[in-house]
Amino acid sequence: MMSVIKKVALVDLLKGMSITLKTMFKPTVTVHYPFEKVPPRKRFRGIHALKLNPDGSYRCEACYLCAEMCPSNVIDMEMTEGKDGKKELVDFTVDLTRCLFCGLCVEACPRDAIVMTDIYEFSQYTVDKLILHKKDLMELGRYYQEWERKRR
Amino acid sequence: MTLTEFREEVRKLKESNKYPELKSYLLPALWMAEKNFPAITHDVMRVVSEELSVPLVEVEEVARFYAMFHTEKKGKFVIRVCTNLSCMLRGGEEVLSELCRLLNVKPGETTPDGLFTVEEYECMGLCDGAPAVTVNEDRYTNVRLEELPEILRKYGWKG
Amino acid sequence: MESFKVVIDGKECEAYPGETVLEVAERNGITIPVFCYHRELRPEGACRVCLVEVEGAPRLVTACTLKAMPDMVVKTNTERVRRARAGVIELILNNHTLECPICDKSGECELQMTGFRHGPKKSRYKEPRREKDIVIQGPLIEIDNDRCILCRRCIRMCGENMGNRVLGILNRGYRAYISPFNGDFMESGCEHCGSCVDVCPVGSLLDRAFKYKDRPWRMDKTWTTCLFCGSGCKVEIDSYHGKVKRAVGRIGINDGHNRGYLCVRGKWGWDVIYSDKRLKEPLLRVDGELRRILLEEALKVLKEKIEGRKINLFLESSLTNEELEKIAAVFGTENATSDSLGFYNFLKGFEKVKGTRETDKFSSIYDADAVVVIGDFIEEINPVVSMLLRLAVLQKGKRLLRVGVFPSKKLDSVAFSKLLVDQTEIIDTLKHVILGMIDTSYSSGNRKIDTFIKSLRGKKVSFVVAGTVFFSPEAEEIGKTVAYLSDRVVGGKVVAVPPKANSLKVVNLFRLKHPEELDGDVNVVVNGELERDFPGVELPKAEFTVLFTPFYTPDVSGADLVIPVEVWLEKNGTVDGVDGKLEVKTVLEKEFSLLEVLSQLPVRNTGAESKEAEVERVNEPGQRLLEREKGELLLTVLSNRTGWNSVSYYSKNVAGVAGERVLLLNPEDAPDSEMVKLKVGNGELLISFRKDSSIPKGHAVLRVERFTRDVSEFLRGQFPNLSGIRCQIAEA
Repeated sequence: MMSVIKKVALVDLLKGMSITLKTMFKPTVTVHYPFEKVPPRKRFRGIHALKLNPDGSYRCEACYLCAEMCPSNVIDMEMTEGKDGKKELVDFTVDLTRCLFCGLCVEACPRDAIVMTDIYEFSQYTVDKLILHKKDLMELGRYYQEWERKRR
Repeated sequence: MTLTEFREEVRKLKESNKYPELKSYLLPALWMAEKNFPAITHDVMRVVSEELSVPLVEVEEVARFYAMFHTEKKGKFVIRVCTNLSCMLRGGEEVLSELCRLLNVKPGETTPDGLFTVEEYECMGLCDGAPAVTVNEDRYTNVRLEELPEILRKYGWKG
Repeated sequence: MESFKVVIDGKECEAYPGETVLEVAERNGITIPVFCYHRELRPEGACRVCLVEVEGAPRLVTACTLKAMPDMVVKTNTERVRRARAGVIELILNNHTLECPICDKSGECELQMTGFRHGPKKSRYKEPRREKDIVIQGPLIEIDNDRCILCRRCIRMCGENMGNRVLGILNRGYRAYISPFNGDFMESGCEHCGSCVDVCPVGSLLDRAFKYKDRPWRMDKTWTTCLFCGSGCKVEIDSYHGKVKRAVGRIGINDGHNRGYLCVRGKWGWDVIYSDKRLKEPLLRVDGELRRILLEEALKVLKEKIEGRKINLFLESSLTNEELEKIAAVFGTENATSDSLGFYNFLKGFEKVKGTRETDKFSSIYDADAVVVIGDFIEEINPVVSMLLRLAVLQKGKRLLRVGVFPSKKLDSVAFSKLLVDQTEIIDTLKHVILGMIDTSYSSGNRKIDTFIKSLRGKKVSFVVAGTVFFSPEAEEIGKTVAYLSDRVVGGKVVAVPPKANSLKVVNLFRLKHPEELDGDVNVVVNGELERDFPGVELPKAEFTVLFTPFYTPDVSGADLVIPVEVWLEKNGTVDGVDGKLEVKTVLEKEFSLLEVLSQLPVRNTGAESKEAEVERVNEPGQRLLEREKGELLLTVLSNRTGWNSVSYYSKNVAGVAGERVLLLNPEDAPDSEMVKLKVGNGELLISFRKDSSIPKGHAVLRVERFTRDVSEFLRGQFPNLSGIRCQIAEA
C-alpha cells in the first residue's frame, strides 16, 4: 500500500532531485579534460628529457647506467669519441612503448642528466614516433628547464 | 759539446771495459751528458741508447729518476739548498727564500740570464754544517743569510 | 715433485715447491684480492693489496711473493688483514679519479671490483686529489695517467713477456707516470700488440679504437679464432647490435693455445669489415665494362661459364674447412694453386722422409726440454707464436735454440744458443747437427755448432719450423732435413707453423701446383688478392676470370665476374690450425656468403679424379740448393706485421701504425748513394735503403707495408719464394 503511494507521489524522484539541487550550487570537481587540465603534482613522472647545461649542451656522459637500471629495457644509446677528445653522445633513444615510468633511470643518473617532465599526453598515430631520440629529448630538456624555472 | 763528440766519448767509455755489461755504462754516460750539456735532451738519450743498446725508455727513466740529472734546461750554476731536518732547524728554508728573493726566481727555476738555477734539495750529507748550500760541486756550510750575495758574486752575479 | 700441506683459512691445501701462497689459494678457491699480480707476469709485490697473515710472522706478508712452505698456516680473512687491505685500497683510491661513468674500463675494472668488495666504505682523506693530467696518445693506445695506480703490470708485460720495453715509469714518487720514450709509441718501437691494454687493471691504458665507443658490459661476447695469420689465436670479439666494437685477448682468462696474447692484426684488424673498400654487390663485365648485377644473375652466369670447364683455382688460405671442402667439390682439387705453396713444398719434403704429412700440435713443445726454432722473422709472420716461444723459456724454463739467418729481437735475448749462419748454409748446418746427434764424437770443425749439438744431446727436443722457411726456395729440402733430424733425437716432435690460418687444410685437400703449370680455361680466385698473396704471378690467359673477394682489390678491374664474400669475422666454421681444430664463430649477419654461393653451384664429378699420388720415400736429408755468385745478395721480402693479409690497407686502425717500405742492408754491402736499384731477374726496383748492422753480410731485407704492384712486378716469376731470392744492387 505504502509503496503504491510512494510511487504515485514520486518520492524517489524528489529524493534524487534534492541531491541534484543541493550540489547544483557547489563548485564542480570534474574537469573538462581536453579543454581543461589538472596541473600534475610536483613529483609527477612524465616522459623523459635530457637536461641541458646553461650553454645549451647536454649533460649526459653516456655512462649507460640509466639503461642498466631500467627494468624494461627502454633506453639505448650510442656514443663515440668527439673531435675534442671528450665523450660524445651520438644518439639517445627512449622507447616509450615499453616505459613504465618508474623513474629508476633518473635515480641512477650520476650527472643529473636524465629527468622526467610533467608531460603525460604523448599519444601518437604511429609507433615509431613514440621512440624519442636525442634531438627530441633535448627539445624536451629545454621545456623542462622552462618548467623548472616557472616552478621556482 | 756536440752530439757527435758526445758519441765519441761514450764509445771511449765503452772501450775502457770497466764493466762486464753494456747497460752498466748508462750512469757514467749520463753523468758525462749532465756535465757537458745544458740539459739531457731526448737527442742525447737517443745517442746513449744507440751506443749502449739499452731501450730508449730505460734511458729516459734513469735520466728522469735522479734529481741530479736535468732533463730541462738548467743554468750554468746549479744552487742546491738543503731543506731537510737539520738544515731546516738551522734556517735552511730562510736561506732558500732569501736566495730566491735575491735572484728573483722560484725554487726550481733558472734566472733569465741562464746563470743560476735554484733548487730545493734533499739531504746532501752536510748535516754537520747545516744549513748547507752547494753550487755545482762547491760546498758552503753554516751559511748565513748575509753571506749569500758574496757567494753569488763569486759566480758572476751582478746585483 | 713432492707436494706438501699448507693450511689456508683452516683448509688443508696441497702445495708444490716453488709455488706462492697466492697460487695455492687460487687453486683451492680462496680469493685474495690482487692488483699488481697477474698470472702471466713475474710477481712484483708492489700494490700490497694481497697482504695475508702468516702464523709466526710478525708482520703481514704479500701472498703473491710469499713462497709456500711446509706446515705454513695462512689466514686471509682476519680482522687485521681486512683492515690492512681496506687501508691499501683507500690509499690507492685516494688519488684515483672518479671517472667511472666515462671510463671505458668500468664494468670490467679490477679496482672497481676489488674496491667494492674489500675497500673501505668511506675515505678519511680531505686533501685534494692529485691531478697529473698527463694523457699520452699513441696511434692505437692511450695512457690516461690520472687513472693509473702504478702497478707496473704494463711495464712487466711489455719489457719482460714481450721483450720490447716500450713503456716505462718516468719521474718518481708522487709525480711518477707511465709513458713511452718521449711520449711517442712509434719511436719507442711499439709493436701495438695490445697486451698492456689487456693487463691494465684500471682504465689507464686504453684501446683508442674502442675509446668512448661503448660500455664493456653490454657486449655480445663471441670467442672465435683470428684468421689473419697461421697462429690461430683465440680472441673475443665484442659486438653490440650486430656491430663489432673491439677484439680482446683476455690474457689469463683465455683458454686458447695463445693464452690471450694477440698481435696488432688480431687486436685492431677487426675493422676490415667496415672498410670503405668493401664490395657491396656482384659485378659483371658487359661490353668491357663492369656493371652491377643481382646475385641470382651472377650465379647463372657463373654456372654457365664453369660448366664442364677446367678451372684454374687460386686459393687464399684463410678460408674455413667447410668452405674449402665445398670449393674442392665445386671446382675440383687437381688444378689449384695457393699462397701456401711453399708450406706445401715443405710438407712434401717432410713426407718423403717421414712417410706422413702429419706434424705435431703447437702445445707439444711444452713436453720437450729443448725447442729448436728454425726460421726467421717469426715475430713478423706469426707474432704470437714467437711470443709463446719466448714465454716457454721465461715461464716454463724450456731451452730455446735458434737456427736461422737474421737476428731476432724477441727470441735472441732468451735463446740458450743460436746458430746464425749464411742462408746458403742452413741445410749444411742442420746436417752437421744430424751427424752430431748420431755420433757423439763428431766434430764439425765449428765450435758454435759443436756447442749447439752438445746442448741438445740427451734432451727431449721439439722442432718449430716457422717464418721465412716456407718462402725459401729450399723449403722442400729443409722439410726433408728436419724430418730426418727429428727421427734422430729424443722426442723429435715437429711443429710446422703455417703461414696462413688454414694452410694445413689447403695443403691436405688440394694438390697444389705452381701457377705456371695451371692449364684450365677459367680462372677462379677465391678470397685472394694477386699482388698480395701471389706476388710475382700473373693470371694465366683464360676465357673467363671469376673473383670471389670481400674488397675492391686491384684485381677487380681485370675480372669478368666479381662476387662479394664475407670476411672471417662474419663466418662460422672450423679451421685446421697450428693447435688442432679451431672454431670460428660469429653473431654478425652477413650479406653475402661464400658457402651459400658455392652450395648453389653443381658439384663436380670427382670420382674420376685420381687419388693422391704415392710419394716416393727417401731416407736422406735434403740438399743445399741456394748458391750465390760474387756480388749477389740474398733478398728476403717481408711484409711488415701490419701488412700481412693486407690489414694495413683495409683496416684503418692498423694502417695508422703501418711501417714504411725500406731496404735494409749490411753497412759493408751498402753503396754510397741514397737510393739503390735492386735487380731480380728482369725486375727492377728503385728504393731508399738503411744501413743496419744486424743484417748479416750478403743478405738484404726488403720490408714492405703491403705488396703493391711495383713490388709484385719486381718479383715476377719468383712465386712462392719471398726469401733467398738472388738479387743485385746498383747505385742509382
